[in-house]
Amino acid sequence: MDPPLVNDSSFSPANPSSYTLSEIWPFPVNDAVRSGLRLAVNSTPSDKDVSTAAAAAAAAAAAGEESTVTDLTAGGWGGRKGRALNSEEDESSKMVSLSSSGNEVKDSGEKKRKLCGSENGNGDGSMRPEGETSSGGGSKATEQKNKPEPPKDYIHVRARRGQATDRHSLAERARREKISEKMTALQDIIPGCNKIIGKALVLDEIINYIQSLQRQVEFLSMKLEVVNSGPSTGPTIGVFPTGDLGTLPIDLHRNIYEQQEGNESRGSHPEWLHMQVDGSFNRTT
Amino acid sequence: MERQMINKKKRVFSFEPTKLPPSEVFTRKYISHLVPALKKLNMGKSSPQINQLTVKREVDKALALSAQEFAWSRFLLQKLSSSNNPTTTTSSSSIQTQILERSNDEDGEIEEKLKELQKLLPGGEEMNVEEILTEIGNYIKCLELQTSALKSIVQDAT
Repeated sequence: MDPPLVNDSSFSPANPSSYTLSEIWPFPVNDAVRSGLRLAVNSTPSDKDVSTAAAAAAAAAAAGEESTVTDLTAGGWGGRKGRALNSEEDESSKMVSLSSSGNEVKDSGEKKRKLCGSENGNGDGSMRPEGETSSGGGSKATEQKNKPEPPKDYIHVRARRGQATDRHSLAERARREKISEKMTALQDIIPGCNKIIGKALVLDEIINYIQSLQRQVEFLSMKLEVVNSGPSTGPTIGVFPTGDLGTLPIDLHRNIYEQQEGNESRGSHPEWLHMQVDGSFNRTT
Repeated sequence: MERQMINKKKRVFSFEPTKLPPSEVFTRKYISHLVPALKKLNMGKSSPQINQLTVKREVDKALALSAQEFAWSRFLLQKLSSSNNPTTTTSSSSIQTQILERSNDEDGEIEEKLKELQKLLPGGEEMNVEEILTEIGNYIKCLELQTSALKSIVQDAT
């Protein structure tokens, strides 16, 4: 399927490489081949996009082709200078510039797509050729930096491969990433959750863990109630002064910290309690 | 830990606010809330049977009071105070925030689980997914600390 771009009338004769484009590369080019090499010339989608924009704008399809061709030519110029992606050097210079111009087209095609997307079908026909020529001229610099710069007042974002570029999906993607961040944080908290992969299973674990903790609390509070109601425990609990842990028996503290922090040094506990009780103590060793 | 203890010792005497690890802060607050309440219950019990609910409520109340920087504690307190006054309507769960994920089958399961999680967490009905996940983290931590505190109280008293 010959790209119907080659229009005799619109050709600038100064660039022979584009002139031979249709002859040398007559078969359609795959859009999916897009990596470092970028050998393919993606003319079909850019055609489509350009034509959709053309439909929105007042410009005719011929104008679309024209501008694409302008791109091609401009791309050809730019490509010859700076593009070093093509590793196949056996080709003639035509082939080299061909693939480079292919890259140009792809870049500008992609850019054009975003232009169209972000502008939401700008009906101004005059804008498009402007944008295109600027993208054609600036595409050389663009390629080399491998990131589109915002030449005008809209936001250019280089989407990752195979992902949508509109605002909503970006926001959604950011939100989803935040959520998965939190899930991984939770995985760290819950014992035994590191090895589980998959949101559903992790959530399962979390639910089970919370339920078991709540049941434990219930059980302990029942026990506490029993303990509390017994007459023998009265004085023990009554020892605690309100709001101050200083005179809690050493055992209680030891238990708490044991459970929390594993086997830490016990020897410092009594000292610490002394500290609490008598504020004038300095460090006792 | 030794160093931490030493640092704690140093700080105990100054009038600056103490920068203890939050787990310790929580535990202290919890115990200082719970124990006097228990004592009061113990002393002031006129009826031979202590209402099980009372103790549980005290336990929960202590939990909520010691963790007031978190959203779920607020909801917990609300629930407790509303259960104290049975006249007030417990309408906190009337607003149920939708957890809308993508509508695939796989995510439908996840949605269900998130809904369950919502029920477990006090106040979860009115939070969206992100908030739930954040709050659940510290809720779990506080539950753990509460469990260990209760364990040690019971152990100590038996």
